[in-house]
Amino acid sequence: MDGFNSDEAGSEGYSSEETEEVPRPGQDLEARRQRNLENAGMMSQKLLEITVKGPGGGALPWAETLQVTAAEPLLIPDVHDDLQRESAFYRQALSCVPLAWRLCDEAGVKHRRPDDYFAEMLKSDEHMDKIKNKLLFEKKRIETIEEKKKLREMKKYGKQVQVQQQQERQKRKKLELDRISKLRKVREKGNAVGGDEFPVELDDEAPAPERVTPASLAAAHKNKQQLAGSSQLPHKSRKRKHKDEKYGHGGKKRFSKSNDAASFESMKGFSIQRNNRPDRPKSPHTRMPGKGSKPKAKAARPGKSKRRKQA
Amino acid sequence: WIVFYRHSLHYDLVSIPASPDFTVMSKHKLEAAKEYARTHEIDIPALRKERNAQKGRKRQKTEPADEDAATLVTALGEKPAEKPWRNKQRTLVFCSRGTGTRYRHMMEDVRMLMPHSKKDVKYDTKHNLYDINEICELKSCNNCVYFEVRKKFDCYMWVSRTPNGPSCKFYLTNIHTMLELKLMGNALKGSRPILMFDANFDSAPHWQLLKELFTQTFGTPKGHPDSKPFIDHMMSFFIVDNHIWFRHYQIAEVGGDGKGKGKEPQLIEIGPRFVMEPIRMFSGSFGGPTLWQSETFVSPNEARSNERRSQADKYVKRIAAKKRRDDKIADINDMPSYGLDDVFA
Repeated sequence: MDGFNSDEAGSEGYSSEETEEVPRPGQDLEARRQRNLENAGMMSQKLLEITVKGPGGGALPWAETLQVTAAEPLLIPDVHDDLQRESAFYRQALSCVPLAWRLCDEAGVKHRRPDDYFAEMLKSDEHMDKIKNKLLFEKKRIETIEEKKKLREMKKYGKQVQVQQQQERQKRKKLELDRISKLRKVREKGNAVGGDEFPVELDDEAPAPERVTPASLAAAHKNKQQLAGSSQLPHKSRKRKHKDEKYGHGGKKRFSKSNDAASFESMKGFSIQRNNRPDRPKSPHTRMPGKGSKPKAKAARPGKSKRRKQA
Repeated sequence: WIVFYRHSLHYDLVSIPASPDFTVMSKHKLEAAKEYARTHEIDIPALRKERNAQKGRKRQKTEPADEDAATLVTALGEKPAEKPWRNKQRTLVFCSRGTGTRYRHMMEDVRMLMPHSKKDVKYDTKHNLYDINEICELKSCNNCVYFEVRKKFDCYMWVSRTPNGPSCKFYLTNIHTMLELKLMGNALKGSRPILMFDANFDSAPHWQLLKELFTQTFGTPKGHPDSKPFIDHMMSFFIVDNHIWFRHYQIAEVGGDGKGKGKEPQLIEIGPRFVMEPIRMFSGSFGGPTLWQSETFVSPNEARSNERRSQADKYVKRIAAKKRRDDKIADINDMPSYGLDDVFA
């Protein structure tokens, strides 16, 4: 791929393959740079040749070319940073627009397209619709995501608030009930005995067990948690608890009928009193500590021959 | 188009209002002229000879129909209007065979942007590019944009001023067509664009030459019949890192009142967008002495070959490193004695 061939290439048979460049290191680049500098005159000459001349032979008026050159050269430190590069392009292009407008006005060229001017556009209406739909879809997607996030946050927060409110309600109800029951007590006492001599409210008493009335039942039915005290779980009956133990959470444990070390040693489920009840028949095999090590041997049953003799 | 008015009491005259460009003839005018000649029994060839003889002109190479109508109108006393000067640019935009969908779409986009462009069939050979000059002459184009796609993958673009002018070969990358949904702008088809160049285009003679070439090739000439009135888009060329970045923006106005005052301009990208790396500039069209050659361009073939070689190098380097290590280990025990062998006897 010798780059020198092109200098001799005439008007025929120029091959574009020879333009595939292989910049060999070092001196070829230097030579190339040198040649580029030397050709500056030729390039300027060519530029003069191709520059289009205006009607009178002078320079073209601006309205013929609409060419605008930016004032500042573009300096982009990192070409591969897309955002930086595109915004630099945008800024430079935007800076040229007012200049272009001014030149248009001076040249009398109308640049502003009126809103009612309808003509064929570069992109069809269907294509613009697609773009619009895509934009709307993107917007909607972002909004949905935001909303979901918010809801999640609200839920967490809302749960906390709900729990707090329930607790507060419970406390208040408890206080109220206590007060009512105390009042009732005081009144009852007063009616039966004839007045309490020391009508003092005893606040540090243990709360009296609540009397079950239809009204209170209804209230309890509505809000089971308040009867159960501070626990938030519903109050379970003994029967329910037993069933849960037996059948719930995988059922009864597998080794419930086998001994382990602890259960072997323990005397749980053994009551001496029960054991010694007189109505409980005792077998000869049971041994009681300290009650005679040997069992009372019963008389042995006579053998067959002797029994026959006796009988 | 056609206005009948009484030029004199004797006959009606077909006249062309204001448009002095005789090369652009409407069918109606021609037919009307012929009709007039028939009804009034005017012998046109005779008239023409007379007129040419008058002006001392040899036979012109214009279309006969044009000339007849022109003759007719002049013979009837109308002064032939002076053709005003017009910047005539016509660009031939075509591609090589084996271009493929992607690059063909981009070429179509480029054609759409240039109402002064002409189409041609796919060029078959990759070796003899000089014949493109003949094609341009046939199509009466004075500029050419030729897309050469090699290996169905690498796209090169030639921009040339056809008869004698300079030409330049570019390597195109980062091509995005107008169809991409992220490019949201739109503009009038055929309206003249503002051509915006970076200030770096004035820094060196080869950039200056390219600037002039682009202005003439891509810029729509004023008064072109397919061009539309207003200016609502701009083509920008930026130079970064010895590459020319092409961007095409729609100039929109936002804000302000409804009357058009106080509006701020805003740019929306229409597309297409691509990056051109100039490889070489020639003094002639598709040939001739080299004016300028790139110092930084690495051809894609070379780049791919380097990549593959570096992959191959990995193995070679690994083997060499292994050998070095083995040698080093073999030499480890050959340590010099410092006469301390008896210390721990």
